[in-house]
Amino acid sequence: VKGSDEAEFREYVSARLDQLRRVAYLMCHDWHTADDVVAVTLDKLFQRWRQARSAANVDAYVNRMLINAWLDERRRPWRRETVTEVVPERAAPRSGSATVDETGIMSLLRSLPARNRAVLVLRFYCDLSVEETAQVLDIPAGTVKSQTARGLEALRAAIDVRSGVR
Amino acid sequence: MMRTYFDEAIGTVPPAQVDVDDVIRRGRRRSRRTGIASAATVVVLAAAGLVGTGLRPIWGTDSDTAAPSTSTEQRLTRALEAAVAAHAPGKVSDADNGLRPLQVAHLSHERYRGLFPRPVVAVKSAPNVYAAAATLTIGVRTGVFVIFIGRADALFVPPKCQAEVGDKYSCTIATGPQGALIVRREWTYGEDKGVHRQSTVQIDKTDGTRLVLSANNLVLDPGQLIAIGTERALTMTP
Repeated sequence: VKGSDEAEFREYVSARLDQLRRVAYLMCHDWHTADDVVAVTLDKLFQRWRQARSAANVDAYVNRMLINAWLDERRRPWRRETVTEVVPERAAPRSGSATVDETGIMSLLRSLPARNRAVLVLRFYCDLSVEETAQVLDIPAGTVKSQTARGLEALRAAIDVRSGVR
Repeated sequence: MMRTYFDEAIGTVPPAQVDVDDVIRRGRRRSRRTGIASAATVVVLAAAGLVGTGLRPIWGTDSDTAAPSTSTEQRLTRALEAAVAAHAPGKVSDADNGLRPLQVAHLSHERYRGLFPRPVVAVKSAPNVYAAAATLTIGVRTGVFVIFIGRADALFVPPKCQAEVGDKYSCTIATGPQGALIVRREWTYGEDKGVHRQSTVQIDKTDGTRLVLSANNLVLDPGQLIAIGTERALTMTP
């Protein structure tokens, strides 16, 4: 990676770091893990920066890396999650990181399997299209559509949004 | 609109534990290591018969997997350093991940992650094989030297010459010192400026130890590799 590439990389990461951390947090619901996942993603991104920056949608490319890093991280024995119908009680959030989950979105996301969760985050938080989401997750567009529809229904119920979401 | 709800659900974002300067520093270090690693990878793949022969290596079986043994690593390191000093005196360089050149480590060691084909990088499934690598400079030549040591069932390389012997690949089998079976392979691969020459010997000792030694750029000839590998101290059963 040359000096000019490093400068470009630094500029991109500086502008996107907050967004990447938020996406990671929506996936894993824990800031420590979120930062680990982001760090792994950025390490890989640095190595592939030339390839990444020439992608048609750099953000989608990076999101794909982030999702994959998180899915890899989940496979580690000490990170394994179990999907349950009842969300267990959580420890109080760290000072300065209070989560206001009045809408129940975090609880809803926690209750979903990993890839379903990723579909919702990519579609509704990262604003990726069905096709882009399918590409990021390497699943058929039809699967994205069906999971989006189910997720949207649940989200609507959770936040009582009656219109204007598409 | 939905994004706003998500942001509300996230709440206050704590200070980042990720620092872009750290990422760049780590990336620079990794890039430097990759230069060494890519050369070593070629040596390793060639040693396994991957380059030029169309074979896929099988690095280990479940029959001989074991946790790394520090005493074995230390014993083999001493033996290897002595063998190289005796048969290939020259400058030895390149160390990373806390390993010095020619320091023998179990394949599960951090150094070998990403350097070898995936099946060997997982600690859990790493075969009970030890390895060492270094860049050697002997006279005017500089090349990468790699050695694997394990029992034959853990370090699986077919002990025979392949059918693709031709202008760019030669292979002979002979019986060496102490009855060891020696498979000697030499490759020339690449084109124009990217031509590489590779020598590999596989030594099956009568005590069940298998060694694969490989060097590129003619820094060690097959005779030197055989001399190093047949040293009695380089064994899995001391």
